Amino acid sequence: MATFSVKPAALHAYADLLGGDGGSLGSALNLQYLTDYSAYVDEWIKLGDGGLLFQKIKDRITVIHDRLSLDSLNISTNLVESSMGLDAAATTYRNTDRDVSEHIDAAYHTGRPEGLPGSDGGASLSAPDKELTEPSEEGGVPELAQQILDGAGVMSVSDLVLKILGWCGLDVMGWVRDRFTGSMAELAQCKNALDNLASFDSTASSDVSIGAAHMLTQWSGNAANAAQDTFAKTSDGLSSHATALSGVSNTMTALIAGIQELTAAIEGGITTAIDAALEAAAAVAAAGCLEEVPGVDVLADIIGGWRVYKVYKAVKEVTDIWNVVWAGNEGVMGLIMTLAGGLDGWDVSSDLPKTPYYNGAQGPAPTYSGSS
Amino acid sequence: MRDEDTANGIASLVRGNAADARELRANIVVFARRLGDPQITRMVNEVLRGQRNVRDVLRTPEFNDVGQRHVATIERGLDELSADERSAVLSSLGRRPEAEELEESEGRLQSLRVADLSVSPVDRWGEVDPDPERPGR
Repeated sequence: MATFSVKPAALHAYADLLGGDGGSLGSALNLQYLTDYSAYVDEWIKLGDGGLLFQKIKDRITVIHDRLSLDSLNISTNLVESSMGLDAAATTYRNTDRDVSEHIDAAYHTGRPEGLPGSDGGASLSAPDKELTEPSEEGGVPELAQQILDGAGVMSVSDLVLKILGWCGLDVMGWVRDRFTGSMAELAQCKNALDNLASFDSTASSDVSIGAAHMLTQWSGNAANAAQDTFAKTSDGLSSHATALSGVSNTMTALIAGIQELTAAIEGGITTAIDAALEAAAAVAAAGCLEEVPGVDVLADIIGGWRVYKVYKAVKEVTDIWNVVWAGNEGVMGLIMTLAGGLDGWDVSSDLPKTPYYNGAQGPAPTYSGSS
Repeated sequence: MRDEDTANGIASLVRGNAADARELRANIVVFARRLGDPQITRMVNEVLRGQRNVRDVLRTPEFNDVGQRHVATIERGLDELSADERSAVLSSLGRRPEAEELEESEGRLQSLRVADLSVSPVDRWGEVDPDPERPGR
């Protein structure tokens, strides 16, 4: 049996860090998850309405938002219940003489594995909510559709060119806006917010670990060893949550790069179509036969002629780029579909302790495998 | 590709296709001659000499107006066709013309385009005469 010693104040202090007044953090970890974290998720893990492409991304980001809201609630609940368990244990220790406490501690024997982590190594606590700064817009443009239209020079082409493109099936402004309206800046902010939330999780993980190590310098025995196991798993679970978020963020980085490649291809295709339409426009403007209403043969020559075919072909290349991407399940679409998948590997019931910290001093001891 | 066509942006606009460059030069010359506007004529001559970008001509209100008028004529022509004729004409939009068919079509369009121009075939695609009505011409 491990030697028992305890300073109940150390348990109270750690309980405060997890779910009380927060001690030196100013606000308890559970409260920071419940308020700061979830408010940050509400504010930044979202996209405004957009065209087809952004609407599909928005749907996945909504899934991420809802998942993170639930995770923050579950983590907060786990932390506050552990805090209450520690407080109850500390109170019982205060109210019980040393012999009885040792007896209670012996009753709480567990099959604790060896080599648990938990040493703080002199590290200091840091408030996780300091990580939740306004996410940068770096890497994004305010409006993607407008960027494509500007980049391809659509806004400066004549009505004549737009008309010829329309003949060939491309209402270029409507087509681009229907598909690409949306803010890349918002998407970049969302990605950077995920990075900040991952930093929050990492800092909270570190705080749980540092706080537990500090508490365990003043608490030993079987119950303390069980607590070490519980809080090591809590710390690891928060760290895993940070890793999962970083995975989602990396997917989003790849998605942003993929969208930039797609829009560059679309922009180039539209530029080619506009130039082909300019050639056709020059042919039409030079056609003296068009001072009078032409007959069917001349119309067939004009419509079916090489110039219009060139425009049609260029327009088809633009729409083909989109159709291949939109109908596919790789590249940009693949990234969109798997965007929220990075969080699937994290589960509150397996990555955090199944039950929050509980001490036999509070009442009947839970059943542990290996206990007699 | 002619150096002038590199300088005036025609080579870039037609993606380096020499035949298309020739055709575009011809079309802006015919457009300018038919319009008879001294300012447009001067612009087109500057383009042909590689001193001005061809897009400057293609974005002028005069070019847009003539083109729009001709497009409206085409649309009126389409309106006057029977449903079957219109369908047949429009169905050729996405069809690449056969070489022989294309040559015949281009030839007919070209003859229609230049039919009423009072210039000799020799200088038909050359620099635009700034004053075609001058004595001795």
